[in-house]
Amino acid sequence: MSDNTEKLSRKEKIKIFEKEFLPHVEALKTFAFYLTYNDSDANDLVQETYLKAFRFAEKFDRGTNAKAWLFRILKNAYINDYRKKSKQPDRVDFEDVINYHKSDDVSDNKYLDLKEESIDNMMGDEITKAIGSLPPEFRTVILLADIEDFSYKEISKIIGVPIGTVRSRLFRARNTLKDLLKKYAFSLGYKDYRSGKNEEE
Amino acid sequence: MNNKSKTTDFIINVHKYLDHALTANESKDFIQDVHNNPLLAKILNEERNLRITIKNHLQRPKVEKSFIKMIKDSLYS
Repeated sequence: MSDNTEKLSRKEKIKIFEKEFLPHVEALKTFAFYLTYNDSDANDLVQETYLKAFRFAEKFDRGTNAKAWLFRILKNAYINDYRKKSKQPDRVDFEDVINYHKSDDVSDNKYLDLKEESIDNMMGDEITKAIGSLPPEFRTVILLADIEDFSYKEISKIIGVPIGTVRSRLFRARNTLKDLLKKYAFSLGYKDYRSGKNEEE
Repeated sequence: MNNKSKTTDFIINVHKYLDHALTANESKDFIQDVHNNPLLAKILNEERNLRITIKNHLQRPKVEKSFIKMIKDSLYS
């Protein structure tokens, strides 16, 4: 946020709003929708985000990342208005990687590839459902990193946690998501070539 | 460094590489590792494909023009 908080005229505010803020409405709506899972609530959240952005336009450091600034406002509005009673997730260490990717898995040269064309075609809205089943903290980092392409640093600022926590959370979120999608693929008859057997066996 | 540590480091670097969090030199070394080991290349592909799958299949809600107009009206009036 900028220290340069000189008063802006209404005309200047509108100009900034139209040029810097409004182009991100679709991304904000997607983020809001996947936080609330309700179209009406998502619209309210986006509207509230824009109201705050307009009101505090002086605090926006022009020329910097407006999208990240707006996402931070939206995330805070979501926490304040929609998630007061939610629990904090377990802290995850990035070294969980050791437990998930055991070296013997790596030595096996066959595994389920989600991009394999036949699986890819069947995914349909399973991605949407799977993301929806993730805890909000996991869903948030997946959306920010994999849909909106924010960096670790930007995500850290948006959600207000250290970069190490962003990485840990992303790692756990992606693995959880991967497991959910693999379960779906197995239900369609695909084998877990990595372990040499079908997961449902 | 033993094989398990090397693999762990590699997997951490897979995530950092795909998230553009490696420096230019680190990326160069990483790609060299990938070229030298087909098994590591498969891990990289699996992680890359997860991200592509998410991006390609996530349904995005529609933003109605009337909604944008409503926001503008509420701010500009």
